[in-house]
Amino acid sequence: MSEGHVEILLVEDNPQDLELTQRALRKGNLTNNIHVARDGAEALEFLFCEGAHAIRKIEDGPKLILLDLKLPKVDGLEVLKRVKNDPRTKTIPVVVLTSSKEQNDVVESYQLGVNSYIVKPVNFEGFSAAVLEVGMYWLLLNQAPKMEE
Amino acid sequence: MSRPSWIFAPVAGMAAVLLGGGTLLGWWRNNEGLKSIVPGSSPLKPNIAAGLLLCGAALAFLSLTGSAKPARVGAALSGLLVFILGGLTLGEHFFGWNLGIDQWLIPQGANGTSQTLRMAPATALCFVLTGILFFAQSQLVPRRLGIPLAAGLSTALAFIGALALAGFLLEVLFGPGWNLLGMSASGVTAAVGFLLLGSGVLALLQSERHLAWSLDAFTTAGFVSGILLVVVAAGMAFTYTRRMLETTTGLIHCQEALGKIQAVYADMSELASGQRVYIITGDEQFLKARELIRTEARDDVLRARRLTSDNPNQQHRLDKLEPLLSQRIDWEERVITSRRAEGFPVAAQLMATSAGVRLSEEINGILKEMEQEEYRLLSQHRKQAEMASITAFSILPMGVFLSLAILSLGLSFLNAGVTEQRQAEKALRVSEKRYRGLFESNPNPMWFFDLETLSFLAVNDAAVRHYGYSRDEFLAMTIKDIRPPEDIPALMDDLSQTSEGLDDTTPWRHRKKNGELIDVEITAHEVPWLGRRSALVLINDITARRRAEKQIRKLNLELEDRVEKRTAQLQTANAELEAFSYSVSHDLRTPLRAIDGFSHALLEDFGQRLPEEGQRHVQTIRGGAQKMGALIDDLLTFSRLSRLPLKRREVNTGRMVRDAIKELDFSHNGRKVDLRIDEVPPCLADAVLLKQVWLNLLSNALKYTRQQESAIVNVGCTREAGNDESVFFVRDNGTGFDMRYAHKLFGVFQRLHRAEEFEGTGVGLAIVQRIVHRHGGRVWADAAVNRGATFYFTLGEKTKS
Repeated sequence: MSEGHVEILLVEDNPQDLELTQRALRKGNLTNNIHVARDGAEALEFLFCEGAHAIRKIEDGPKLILLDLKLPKVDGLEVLKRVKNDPRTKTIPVVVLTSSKEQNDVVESYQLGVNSYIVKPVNFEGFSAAVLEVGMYWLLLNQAPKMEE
Repeated sequence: MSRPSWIFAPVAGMAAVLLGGGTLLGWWRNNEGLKSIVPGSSPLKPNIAAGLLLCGAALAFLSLTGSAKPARVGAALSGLLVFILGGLTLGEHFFGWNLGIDQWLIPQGANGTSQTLRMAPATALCFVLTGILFFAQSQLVPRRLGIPLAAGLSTALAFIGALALAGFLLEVLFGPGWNLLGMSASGVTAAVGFLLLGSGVLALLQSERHLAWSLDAFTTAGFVSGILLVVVAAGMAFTYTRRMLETTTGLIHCQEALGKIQAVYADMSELASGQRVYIITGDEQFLKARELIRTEARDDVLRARRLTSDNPNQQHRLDKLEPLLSQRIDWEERVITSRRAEGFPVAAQLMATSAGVRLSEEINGILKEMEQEEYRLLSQHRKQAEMASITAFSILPMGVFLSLAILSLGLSFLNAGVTEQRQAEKALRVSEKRYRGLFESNPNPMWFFDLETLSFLAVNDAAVRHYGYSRDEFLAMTIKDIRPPEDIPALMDDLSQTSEGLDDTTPWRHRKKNGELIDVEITAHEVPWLGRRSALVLINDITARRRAEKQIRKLNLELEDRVEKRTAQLQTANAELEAFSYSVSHDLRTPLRAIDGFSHALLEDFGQRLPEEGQRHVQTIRGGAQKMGALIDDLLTFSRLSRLPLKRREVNTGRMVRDAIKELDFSHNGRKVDLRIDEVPPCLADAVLLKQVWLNLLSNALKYTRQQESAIVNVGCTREAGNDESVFFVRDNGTGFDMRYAHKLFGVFQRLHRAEEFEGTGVGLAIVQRIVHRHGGRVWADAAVNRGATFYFTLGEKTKS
């Protein structure tokens, strides 16, 4: 996977969920340029071009972040906060994809500026449809603001 | 000392001083105006003036110094002096002593006075009484005797003075018949003096609060008027008897005068007849008694003159009579001389002249007039004497009768008063007994203590029992002895502060005989005890209560502590529960999704290689996983219900029902449901939770009418009889259920239908019940198998109509 034009940053610790998500995306032909981070810290490193990703340019994306909330090391809400508080990453759409139906999480996520909040259904057809709809919408239909220049 | 009587005593004393002193000055300076201060009265005698001066000064001194010791000594000395003065004067009157005390101050005859300076016996008696009065008032005699004596004597003095004055004034106004005591004008000034002294001492007694009438005013007035009537009757009887005496004397005088007039007449006749016989006979023997008769006649005329001295008419007639008598006697003498010298014829010729006859006729005429006058006076006097005696003898019994009537009336009032007093005393004794009982047998310790010495005056049995001291030990102690030493300053402070009225309840510590300290609550009242300032104290031992209070406070503290600990534990448990449900929400669903997702992947990727049976199994696995996901979702909803706070606000129930119906999509699968929504009132509820109720009930209705050809769902609201509460309901004509299992209806995971018939987790109605209960309402159902079901619920508040 090239780090040049990453379109989707998928942050997911659970390997089965990761595989199912990737399967759903693949069905919608959204497999190009997906970068996977397995915990919050890794996601932040990638986003802010630190550590292993130091050579990457922050302006290079991604175009969409699919974020699980329950993550090892740094949790999803913290990642969301950092992204939405930084002017350089603020405009990246973030979609929370989580199992949690907790009202607290929904409210807090929206307060932190999440663009969509999607509860992953147990039913795969539902899950797949939701992931695809979100990916399609944010990547293809949504007109993102021009960042630099 | 603000009473008006306080000022009267010194003023009366000063007036007496002025009266006496002024008169004495008048005697000394020989000033008639000063001597007789009361106009028209004769001068006050010097000794009376001196006595009034002395006693007036003593009275003024006593009243102005508040009966200080020198004033009392002065009063005693004055009393002694006037007593001696009056006594000696009385002695002079009755035993004929001549001690010269009357001329001691002003010598008789000096300053041109001719009348006697000795005071009248009545005045002297008054001074004797005044002397005793001032001696009594000086408090040198025991007060028990002195005060009634002074009160009685001063009343008597004032009364005598007032009566004499009144008699004198009445005489001045209405004539001599009204002078009750026959008081002469000369005694008036003395009467004024005694009135001043008597009323002054009375006022002094009154201002010193020695005179307190214990009899009621009515009885007192009865007695006073009775006594007054007796005195007035006696005075009037005395006056009329005296007048009778006077008229009787006049009567006797008249008779005597009449006798003398007749004697003169007889004398003259005798002289005339003697002379006539001598002229005829010439016998000298007939002239022998002549000289004697002539003297007798002259004596008789003189006596008649004296007897009629009060009658100017008779005196005038006597003036005319006397020369006539002399002329007649002279004429007779001349005839006798001529008979003796010139013989009978010459004498007979003289006799024949009318001169002698004319004289005789004139004399007889005058004597006749005088006789008639005396007869007239005689009958007049007789009439007056009769009148006076009738009046005197009728007044006395009448007065006595009247005063007896009034006195007996007064006596009956007095008797009634005494009876009443006796009854009051009896009632008081009963009351006293009752209160004594209240004190003696009170279960709480009680005592009296002296507010000055702080010593116990009386204690009740409960105090003896409670404190362990015997009664004698108690009475030998003060209230300081039953307190711990460190409390005594506070006690003294409290006593000095509340000396006005000890009427409060304060907590104190007392020490029993065995040294045990007890907590007490004290109620004290100031109550006089045999004339001493004392306090009645009621003790309430609150040691046990205090201990219990302390225990309760300790227990309360412990309880609070325990509650705090439990709350903390609960909070921890709650937090754990929240974490747990979060985990359930997140972590339990993830593997389920994996099962479902990979089953799906299995079918997609390797479906052709699986036999039909295998494919069906994989579908079953997926169904199970999805069912479990639904169960987890419902469970989470159910557990969240008890954790979220209830936010009541007004809800448009009708609109909420319509929204829910829209959400549930009643026309799903081309079904036709006859929806009947009645008018429902708004309600006060948590909108989010109430929506869940409607959703659950309506979706149930929808679910269980699935097999009906024409499904009917009815939403409405009724009111229970006698209750304002709105009862909402959802009725359907679906499968219904057997009411025998109605008790299981609202339990979690309880289902009345098989899963193949109707899908569901068995949590929906449990959620409904929990929400309704959280609102304080009730939920129940009414159903029959294949006849539909009705679910009712209330929201525990009066809905607005």
